[in-house]
Amino acid sequence: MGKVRRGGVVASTMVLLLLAASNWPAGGFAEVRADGSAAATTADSDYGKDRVQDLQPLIDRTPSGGTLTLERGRVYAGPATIDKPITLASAGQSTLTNPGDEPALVLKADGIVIRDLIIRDSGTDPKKPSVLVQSDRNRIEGIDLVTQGGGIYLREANDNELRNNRIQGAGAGKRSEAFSKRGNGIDLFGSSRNVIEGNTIIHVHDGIYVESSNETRVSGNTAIDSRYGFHFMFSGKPELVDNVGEGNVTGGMVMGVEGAVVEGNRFDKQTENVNSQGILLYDVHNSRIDRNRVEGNRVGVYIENSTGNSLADNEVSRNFIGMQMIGASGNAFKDSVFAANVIQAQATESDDNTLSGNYWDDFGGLDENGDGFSELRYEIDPFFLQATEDIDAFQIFFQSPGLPFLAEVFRTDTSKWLKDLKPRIEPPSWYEEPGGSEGRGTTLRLGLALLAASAMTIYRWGYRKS
Amino acid sequence: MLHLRTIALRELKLGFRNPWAYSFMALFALFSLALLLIQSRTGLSGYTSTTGTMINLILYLLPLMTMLLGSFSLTTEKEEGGWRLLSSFSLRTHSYIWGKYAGLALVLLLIAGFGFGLSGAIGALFGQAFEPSEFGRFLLFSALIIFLFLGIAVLVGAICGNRWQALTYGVGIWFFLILGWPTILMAVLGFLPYVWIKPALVLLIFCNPAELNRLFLIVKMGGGSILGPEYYQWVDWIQRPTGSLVFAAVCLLWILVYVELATWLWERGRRRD
Repeated sequence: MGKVRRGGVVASTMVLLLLAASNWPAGGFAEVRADGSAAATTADSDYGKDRVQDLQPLIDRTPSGGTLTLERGRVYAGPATIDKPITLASAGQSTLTNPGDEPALVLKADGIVIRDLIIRDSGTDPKKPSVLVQSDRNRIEGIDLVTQGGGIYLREANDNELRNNRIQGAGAGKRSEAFSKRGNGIDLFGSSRNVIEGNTIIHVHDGIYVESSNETRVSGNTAIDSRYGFHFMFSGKPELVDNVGEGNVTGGMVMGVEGAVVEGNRFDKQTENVNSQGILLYDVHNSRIDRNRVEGNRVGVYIENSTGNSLADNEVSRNFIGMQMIGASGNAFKDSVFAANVIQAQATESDDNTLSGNYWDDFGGLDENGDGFSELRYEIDPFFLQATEDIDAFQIFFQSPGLPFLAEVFRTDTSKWLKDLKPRIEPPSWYEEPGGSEGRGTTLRLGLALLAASAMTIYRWGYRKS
Repeated sequence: MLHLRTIALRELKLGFRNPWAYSFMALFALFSLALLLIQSRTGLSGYTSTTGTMINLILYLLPLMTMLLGSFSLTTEKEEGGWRLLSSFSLRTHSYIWGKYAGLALVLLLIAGFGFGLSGAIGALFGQAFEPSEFGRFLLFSALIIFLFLGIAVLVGAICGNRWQALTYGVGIWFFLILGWPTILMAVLGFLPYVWIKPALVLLIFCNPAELNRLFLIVKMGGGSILGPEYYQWVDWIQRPTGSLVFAAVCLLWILVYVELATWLWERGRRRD
C-alpha cells in the first residue's frame, strides 16, 4: 500500500512537471537565434540548396546556449555529435541523412533541445540507434525518424523528455519482416526519470523498451505492428499510462518489476502470433493495473509468477482468452468487465487470488438481496489449461464441441478453482456496450433474402402437389 | 444426368413431405435465434464467445440432422419398397445415389438457409446481427458440414437395412465425431510417444469433417494463433488462398469417396436381389 501511495506522489510530481513544460513558449527558442549560426539559417538564396551539407561544422560553430536553425527543405548529413547545450531546430522540413551505422546524432551535453527534424537514417544495424542520448535534461520533440536500425536510445541519461516523435521502421509494409532485423523505437538502459510522451512508433522491434531504468513515465504513446509495443524489464516504478498498442505480438509487457502503474491503456488486436497478448505481466509485484482496455487479443491479460498486484476497472473483451494466470498468487481483480471472450479466464497453480465485483457476460447470477452483486459465485474451470499443459498439440481442441463433455467428466475438486465471490449482475456504469455491428442493414437484407428464397423453394418444389 | 435430376427433385419433394424436416428446421431456427438474442452485442464479429458458441451450435445440430435425414431417406426406400419399384426401370444405381445425395443436400441447405435467414433477419431487427462477413462464413461452414456429413449419411443408409439401425449408427457416429472426439483422442493419443502425437492428431482431424471444418473456420476468422505454436505452419498455410483450394479439394474427395462407396455397396445389394 505504501509503495502504491509513493508511486502516486511521483506521478503527480511528473504531471506538474509536464504542465510546467507545456507552458514554455513554443517559439521562444527560434527567436534566440545565435549569430554564429547565421551562415546556416539566413542563407535564403538558392545557392547550394540541393547540396547536402555536413551538420557537424554547423554545430561546432553554434555557441553554447545558442540555437541552430536548419533551413527549410534542405538536406543535412550526419553523423554529428552535440557536446554543448544548444537548440537544434528546423524551420520546417529539414532532413538529416545518415549514411553509415554510426548514430545520426549523439547527445553528450546536458540540456540540449532538438526539435522538428526529419531524420532518414540508412543504418541497418538493429543494435545501433539513430539518435543516442548520453546526457541529462535534454528534450527531443517532433522528430520524424525512419530507419532500419534503432530509433532513439538513452544510455545512462536521466531526466530527458521525448515528446511527439514519430519513429518508423524502414521495412514498414513488410508485415512478415523478422523482428531480429528491426531495432527498438525508443530504448532506455540505466536511465532514470525520463518522460516519454505522445510518440508514435510503427513497425519496429520493441516500440518502447525500458531496461534497468527507474521511474520512467511512458504516456500517450502509440505503438503499432511491432514485437512488444511497450516493454519494461527490471525497472523500478515505471508508469505506463494512456498508451495505445495495436497489432503487435504483445501490447504491453512488464517483467521483473515492482510498483508499476499500468493505467488507461488500450491494447487491441494482438492476435497474429501464437504468443500474442494484450498485457503480459511476468514476475511483477505490487503493481497497479487499472482502467485498461484489452480487446480482440489472443490473450487479453496474461499473468505469470506475479504477486500482490491490483487489477481494477479493466475492460477485457472479445479476446480468445480473456485472462490467463499461471503461478500467480495474491493478486486482486475487481470491478472489471469480461465480455465476449471465447474463454473468459484460465488459471493454474494460482491460489489466493481474489476476484470480486467483476462483470462476466456469460454468467447469469442470482441477486437475492438486491445489492447488485450475485450471491452465486462465478467459477472458472481450469480444465483446458491443465489438459494442454503437458501436450501442446492438444491445444487444437480449443473450444471443441466435445470439450464441455470431457470437462464435466473430469470435474472433481472445485476448491482450487479461480472464482469471483461477488460477481456483478450488471456491468459497471463506465462500461459502454458497443451498439450493433456495422453491417446490420446488409445482414438484415441477406437474412430476408435467404428466408424468402428458401421458403419459396420449399413451397414450390417441396410442398406443392404438382 | 436426367435420371439424377429426376431423383433429386423427387427427393426434394419427399424431403419436405417428411415432418422431420420441419421439426429440424424449427429446432435449428429457434436455437440459432435464441443464441443470437441471448448474447451481448460485443462479440458479433471476429472469433469471440458469441461466434464460438454459434460454431458449436451448428456442430451439435447440423451433423445429427444431416445424418438422420440422410440415412433415413435411403433406408426408407428399402423398407417401403420405393427402391424396388425404381429398380424395375432402367435406372443406374450411380444416378440414383448421386440423385439422392443432391436432393438431400438441397433439402438440408434449405433447412439451414431458412434457419439462418430467420435468425439473421430477426436478430438484425433487434440490433443483434452478425457482421455480413461472419454471416457468410457461417453459411459456408454449415453448407460444408452438410455436404461432408451427408457423405457419411448416404453410406450409413446404404449399409443399414432399416431406420432403427440407421438411427443407432447415426447417433453413434455423431457421438464419436462431435461429443466424444476430444475425450477419445486425448485418452488414446496419450499412449503414443510424444513426437507422434501431433502427426497422428493432424491425420485424424482429416478423418473428422466436423473438426476439419471447425479449424478451417477458426483460422479464417483470424483465430489461428489460439491453436498454439505446434500448428503455426498449418495456420499460416491455411490462411493463404492455396490453403482454401486444398481444403476444397479435400472436401470434394471426402464426398466422392463416401458416396461412391455407398454406390458400390448399393449396387452389390442390387445384384443380390
